[in-house]
Amino acid sequence: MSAATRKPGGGRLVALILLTVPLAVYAFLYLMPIGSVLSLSLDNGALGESLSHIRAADPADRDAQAAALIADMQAMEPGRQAEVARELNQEMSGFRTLFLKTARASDGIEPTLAGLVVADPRWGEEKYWQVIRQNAAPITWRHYQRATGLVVDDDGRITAGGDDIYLQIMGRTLVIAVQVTLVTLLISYPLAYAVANAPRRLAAFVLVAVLLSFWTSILVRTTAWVILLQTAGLVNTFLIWTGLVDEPVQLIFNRFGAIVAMTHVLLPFAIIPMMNVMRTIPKSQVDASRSLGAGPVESFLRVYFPQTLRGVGVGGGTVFILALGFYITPALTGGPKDQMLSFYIADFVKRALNWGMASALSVLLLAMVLALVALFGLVRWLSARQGGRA
Amino acid sequence: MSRAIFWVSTVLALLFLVVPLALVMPLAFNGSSFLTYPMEGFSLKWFEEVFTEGNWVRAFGNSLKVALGTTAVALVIGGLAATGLMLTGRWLQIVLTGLFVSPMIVPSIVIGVAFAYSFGRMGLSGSYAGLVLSHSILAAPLVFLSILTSLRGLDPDLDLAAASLGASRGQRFRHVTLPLAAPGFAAGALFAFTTSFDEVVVALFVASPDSLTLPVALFAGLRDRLQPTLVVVALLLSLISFAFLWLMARLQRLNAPQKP
Amino acid sequence: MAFIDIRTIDKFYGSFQALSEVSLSIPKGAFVTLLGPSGSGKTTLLKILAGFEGVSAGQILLDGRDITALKPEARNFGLVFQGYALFPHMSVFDNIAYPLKVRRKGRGEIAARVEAMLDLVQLRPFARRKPQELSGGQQQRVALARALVFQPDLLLLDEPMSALDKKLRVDLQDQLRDIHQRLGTTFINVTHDQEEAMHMSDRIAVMNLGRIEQYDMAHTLYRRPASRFVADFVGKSNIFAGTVEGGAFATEEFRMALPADGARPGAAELVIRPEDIRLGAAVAGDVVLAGSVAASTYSGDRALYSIALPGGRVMLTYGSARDGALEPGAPVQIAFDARDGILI
Repeated sequence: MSAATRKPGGGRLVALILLTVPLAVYAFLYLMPIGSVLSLSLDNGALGESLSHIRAADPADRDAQAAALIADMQAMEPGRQAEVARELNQEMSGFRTLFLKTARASDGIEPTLAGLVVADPRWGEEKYWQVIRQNAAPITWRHYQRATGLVVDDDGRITAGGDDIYLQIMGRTLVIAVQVTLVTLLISYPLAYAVANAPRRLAAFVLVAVLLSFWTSILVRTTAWVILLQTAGLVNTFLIWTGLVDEPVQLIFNRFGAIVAMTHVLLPFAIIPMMNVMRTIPKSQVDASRSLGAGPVESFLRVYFPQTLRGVGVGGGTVFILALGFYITPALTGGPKDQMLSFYIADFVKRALNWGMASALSVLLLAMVLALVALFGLVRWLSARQGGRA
Repeated sequence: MSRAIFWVSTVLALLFLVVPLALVMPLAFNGSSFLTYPMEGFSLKWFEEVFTEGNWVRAFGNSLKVALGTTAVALVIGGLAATGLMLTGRWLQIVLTGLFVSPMIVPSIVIGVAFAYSFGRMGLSGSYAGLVLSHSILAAPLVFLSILTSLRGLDPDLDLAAASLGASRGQRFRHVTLPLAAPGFAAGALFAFTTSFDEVVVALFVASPDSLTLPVALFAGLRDRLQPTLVVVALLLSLISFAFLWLMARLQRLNAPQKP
Repeated sequence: MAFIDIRTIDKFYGSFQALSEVSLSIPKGAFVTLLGPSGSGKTTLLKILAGFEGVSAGQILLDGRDITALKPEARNFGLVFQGYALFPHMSVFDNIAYPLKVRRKGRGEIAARVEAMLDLVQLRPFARRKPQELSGGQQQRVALARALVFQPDLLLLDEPMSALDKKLRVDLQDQLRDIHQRLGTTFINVTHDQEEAMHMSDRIAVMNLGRIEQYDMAHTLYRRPASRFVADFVGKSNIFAGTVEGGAFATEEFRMALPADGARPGAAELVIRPEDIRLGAAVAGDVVLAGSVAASTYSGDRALYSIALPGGRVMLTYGSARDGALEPGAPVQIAFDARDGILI
């Protein structure tokens, strides 16, 4: 038994006391807010709270459902009626008028299906009932259905029949992130190489440039690009002055502008890990390769480059993950067709006040990032294991 | 040939990295309101405008207040987390490190949505406290990591030596651990301050028009209309960042001869 | 009565047993060395004495008082670390003053006692320097002063010489023994260097695989090793496996009278120290063997020879080297007195 071992610096009790404050802060100010996003994405809001009679009614008995709907309508305040109508309208356009009209008149309607059809013939159509039944539960998948374009058909099967606009946006987000990562790596490599291998003064200069760039805020660097790339901006002035173009070129609010600015902003995140790896590679290795008869290019490709891949992986991974969730730079330099997932999340919160959709998209974005982090972790673990065996 | 490739690619990449800021910043001193060259004389009028206009001054004051508050709160959270972590077992250390560092990988837009909603329910949205607390969550991982790094870099024998010389746990922390890890705490503080001072996304969600920070005001200005005052604000923000980078470099140099 | 009494200590790390039934009693004012190869458990025992590790079983008594569960800071033991563990942010003076400060001594008393220690280790001119501005030997003396200034009941030394070069090491060994004699404090030193152990200590505990193989004075350890391990680890030795029968010891190469009475019949090992072997000249009654020089190591004052016997065994012996060492291949005769043999 080893129960008697005791670290002098240890003391579980002290650790517990010290960790209480940060753990409490993280739980209340970080895990709970993130958790609330998760629950918001599944929360049915006003619908889930207000359609309790419908939920309890026998789905096969049309008259019972009609009676339940009228009972639910009567139980709602007018404000709540408007809220429910708006949420139903998000599911099927035209529902708002139907619901509000019926709700206002609900006291005079006979509580049967026939009575409702008299009030508005649209109640005779099954699709409206379907929407109501599907959205009566306190938990809903409709935000995710809308986010992914997957719909539940009449038989309860999931099919890809819906509007796939957000799926396209997710695809676009991934494509832009890949594009930015590739360009960033291409530009970072020579700079990282210069810091590690160039003559001292150049290396120091590049390092200072990289660090200054790293410490300058993302917004400031984006500002610079907005000013440079605008129609009457420096780049266009220069292009016209040189006679390369006759009239200003559209450089901003399109994919070009978004990628240029994002690349510039993310460069230091790729350079720093690459540089740290390159600094650990002894210069004598390339010399050794040269002395063994390989040319400079071959020595670089066969001896130097493979050893830098670890840094390229870390740098590329960091840039990719940051690019996935990027908001301000694409929002300021991209066009409508270059907006990434984060733009729509912000839009749902700020303009549409649709917390359900904002949360569902947030959860999907977070899931993508976490999956990537897990993937990088796995790759690192595997390569470390392989390296250990070799 | 290979040298040519090296030089050309390095110079081009370096130009891309440096030129945008170097070209734009002088426009803060432009005499005209056009944001392009050639400049029409040297003028400080845009600086004057920024310094006299209530909105910019107020935003700057808000940013300063929030950043200072964030530095204090994040230092406490990150410092306690790092020192507490050092006393736990290996597996708990791995789990807790993952937890404490995780806000760094969660996209800030997601954190923004989460705070906007939760603070709304807690009645904190738009408040100074809400901004400070949300920025503290973003800054705490950096403070935690820099303090943890300097604590891990300490020779564990120093603590044992102090114990053998009769110092209690509290005395050892005050006399040995804290002074030797001080550069880590200072670096953490610098990180926390700049994180908060430069932060846009979460502040966009949490701040109210009254508690607008400088980056949020700059962001709104950029979406609204480009004018030289924005360059002035950007220049001031970068100067503050450079000051912090300089402090950080000083700190590292100060710390270097301590390690034999 | 023993001052430090270590009673049947066991120490496990998981399923690995680092110490098994270690018992040791140390009189007040003694200079004891724990000697052993790495992994022998000597450092673990030191950590347990210092209070940095708990025990799995057993107890430690100090002057009859059980201190097994006492925290390190409550033990009042000085400890000199292998890497010295000087506080880099404090001057030499402050390092030495530290244990007095945490004991809340007055300023005047602290100054007087620190200065007395600085004189003892001859570092007075360096009081204001930072530790990293001192040489390795000076740092070691600061560590020693810091560990002694609060008049500890016991001073523990964890391989204090291992970071120093050989010449300096011998000087510091003399100084350490000198300080021990002047202060009269009980010292426990840990080392893997048997010369250092023999040079400084009154008694040596040889450790191997978590056990104490032998605890004796240096001379006894060398002349009367209790086990093959001790014979092999302490000094150089030639060891023959053979059998005891009919009042004699026999190996493949020779047969001789027993060196001492009371050996039980059966398998046994005979240890002959190289310095007990006569090269070339035999005395009447000696065991005489013929062989040839296999290798020689010349060290100025003498030469160490490996002599190959016809059966293939190699024996170590010293020879005078005033006229240069013998050439490899040269036929030689070696002889030793059976009474110099040690039977294990």
